[in-house]
Amino acid sequence: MKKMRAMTNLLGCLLLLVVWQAAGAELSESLLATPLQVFVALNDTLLGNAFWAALGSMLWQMSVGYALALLVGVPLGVAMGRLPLVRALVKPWAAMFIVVSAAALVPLFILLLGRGVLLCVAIVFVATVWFVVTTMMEASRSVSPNLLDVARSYGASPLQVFRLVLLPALHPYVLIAARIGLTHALRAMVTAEMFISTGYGGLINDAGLDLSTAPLFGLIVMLMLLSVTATGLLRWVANRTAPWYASRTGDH
Amino acid sequence: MSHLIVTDIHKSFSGTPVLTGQSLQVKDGEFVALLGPSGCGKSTLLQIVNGLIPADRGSVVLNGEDITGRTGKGRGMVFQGSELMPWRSALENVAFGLEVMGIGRAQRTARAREYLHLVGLDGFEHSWPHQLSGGMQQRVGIARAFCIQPSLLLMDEPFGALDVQTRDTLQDELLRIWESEPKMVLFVTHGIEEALYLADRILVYSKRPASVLREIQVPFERPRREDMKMDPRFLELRREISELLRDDAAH
Repeated sequence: MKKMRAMTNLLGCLLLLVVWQAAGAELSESLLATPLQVFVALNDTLLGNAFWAALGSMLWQMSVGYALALLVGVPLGVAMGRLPLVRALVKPWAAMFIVVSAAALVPLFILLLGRGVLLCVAIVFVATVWFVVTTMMEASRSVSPNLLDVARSYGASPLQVFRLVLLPALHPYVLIAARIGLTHALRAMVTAEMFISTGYGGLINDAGLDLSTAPLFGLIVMLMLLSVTATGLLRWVANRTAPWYASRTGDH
Repeated sequence: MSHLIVTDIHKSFSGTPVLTGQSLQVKDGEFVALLGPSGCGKSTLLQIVNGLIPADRGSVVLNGEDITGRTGKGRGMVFQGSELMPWRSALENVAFGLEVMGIGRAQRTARAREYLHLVGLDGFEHSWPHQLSGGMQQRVGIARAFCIQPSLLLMDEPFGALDVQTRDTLQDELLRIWESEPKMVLFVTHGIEEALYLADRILVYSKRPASVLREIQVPFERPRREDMKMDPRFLELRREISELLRDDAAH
């Protein structure tokens, strides 16, 4: 079953590559480079130092904003899910900020925070935190009231109910929030860098000016690989540490 | 000697009276079934005894202590859908009540192992609930309640979600375990045969708001065995209760 699914995934990727190759051959390298041209260009990129320096600086700045978003978002989301007062107070902010794209905020944040590390961290934070908050809010609202009743009927104190029921029930959802948050963090980080033309976003800007589109596609493909690997890793951790949840969603 | 005295319980849900002045008593070692149509309020009464739902009026006294509106304290509850914690192994689920009471890991694991053995689940200590059948899950649920060695066992249609064969087996298992560790039981059910087979005494409730239509002292000796269900007296009682409930539903 698992093998079958993996094969189908692979087939989907192959199909995409074939269509891309055909379309690229029809157009030209300056409009749509083919996968083979991208592969060659990517090889050059990966051999250079600029790429790795840009990747490194992007990753650590993004990680800071992302970690902050989880640190604030998870408890805030849980509090919103369990406490009607907090939910009523904070929900309008979430509803408003979640629709504002990172790109719309960058110009304002440049004015407020300059063009340094602080800008990128702040953009990643605001672009990520509300997704984490809403995911955790829904998760903690959906914790089975029956299981809370079980704990209470065995005489559990509110603190024990929290520790023995709420926390373990939420554990898989924290990893889901982390996964959703990560893709948003990565997108926001690249957007911010493109505005101030540094790091990975800066490389994408430069590649966009190239006569060939191959280097640009190469950078985008690397970004995709990075995101897929990282979310895959989080999924693996979730399946390992919460097999009971994986069994419910058929992911085991 | 343990005993339960429930006095004059009143409860309404958003203006609709569910219980109006219900009282009952359970003697030491007595198995009492609360029998009635679905939604009549018998489960609400059980949850009030358990302390999960506050009563509007009335009191619950267990072994001389007023425990109205409080949970824990000598009561073990078996829920309809077993309600195991999916992130705990069978063994950890059985040990849950002891963990809440603050009993150390070694001791609670040893005791949980004992009770898992008692319900016939040796070798399943480290299974996850999702790996167990519905019947096995409810065995874990029963072991969890017995494991805290309560003086009062509360059971809310514990076999309602199981197929007939599994239900019959579990009824026998429950009787066997309870005979080896007698304690007071309040057993909510809408199955007439189940109530007659298991209980010493049956309180037959009307439709909502629940009131006792009849109290039946079940005349069969223990230990009870399957062939009892063919006894003419058993069939006669079953018919009487069935008519009683049908008459009540018609009014």
